[in-house]
Amino acid sequence: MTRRSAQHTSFVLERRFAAPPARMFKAWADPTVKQRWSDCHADGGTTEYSMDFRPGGREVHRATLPNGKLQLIEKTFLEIVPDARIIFAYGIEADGRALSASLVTAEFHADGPGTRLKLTEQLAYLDGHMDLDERIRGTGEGLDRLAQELAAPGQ
Amino acid sequence: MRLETPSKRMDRLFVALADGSRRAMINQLSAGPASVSDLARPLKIALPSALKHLAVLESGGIVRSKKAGRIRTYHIAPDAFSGLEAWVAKRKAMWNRQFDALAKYLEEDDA
Repeated sequence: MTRRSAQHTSFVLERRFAAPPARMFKAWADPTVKQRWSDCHADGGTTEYSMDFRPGGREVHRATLPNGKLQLIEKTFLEIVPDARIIFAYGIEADGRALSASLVTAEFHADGPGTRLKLTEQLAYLDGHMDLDERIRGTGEGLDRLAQELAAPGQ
Repeated sequence: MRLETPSKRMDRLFVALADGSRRAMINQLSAGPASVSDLARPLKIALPSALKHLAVLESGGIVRSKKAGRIRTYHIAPDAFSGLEAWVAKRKAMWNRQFDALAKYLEEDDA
């Protein structure tokens, strides 16, 4: 039934933050701070969360999604350079089925008093798992976000 | 297999989706095929402008049409939205949402 496939792509997000690299790094490295901004606790359905922030350490997040699916996001930290760079691999599973596997490089560059964050995600999208509704919604979310970003500065 | 590059396809999607009426048509068509008048009615637009929007969507490869007798029905092209692109859009949205929260946290913490 399932056609096995792996499609590869990558994307880069860059963003400037007012805080210096050391504070940015702490926001990623300290589990209590990270919970303040990461998605891990945003949706409420979290059943398990842990983070072991060191090379080889893992971050595990299990949640029950609004659609009833059990989601597992499992991350392994590969390289950590304090205040400068974090590299990690992560996979997303729904109901035990692997959806994608990624390599993420987050780079913190000093930019005046603040930080320019460059996030590169290289990913393998597995077995074409999304149905049409989900795809349309996914694309729409991306476009809405883009529209907000384009509208924001001038207003 | 598709030969077109993902970014070309994305450009095409962006143009087609950059209009509220066309997005509404896609929403309606994702529930099932519809005729031009079915699609024009909820938007309260004239048939010629509905046809214009549908032509953009069709040339963008997002919808297809077929004619049975005098009636032309439109449906979503099965490969209109590549799963990979939608997945990437979702991942980007996820990161940007988190970055918004991170920026807010850093500002609050500063005060």
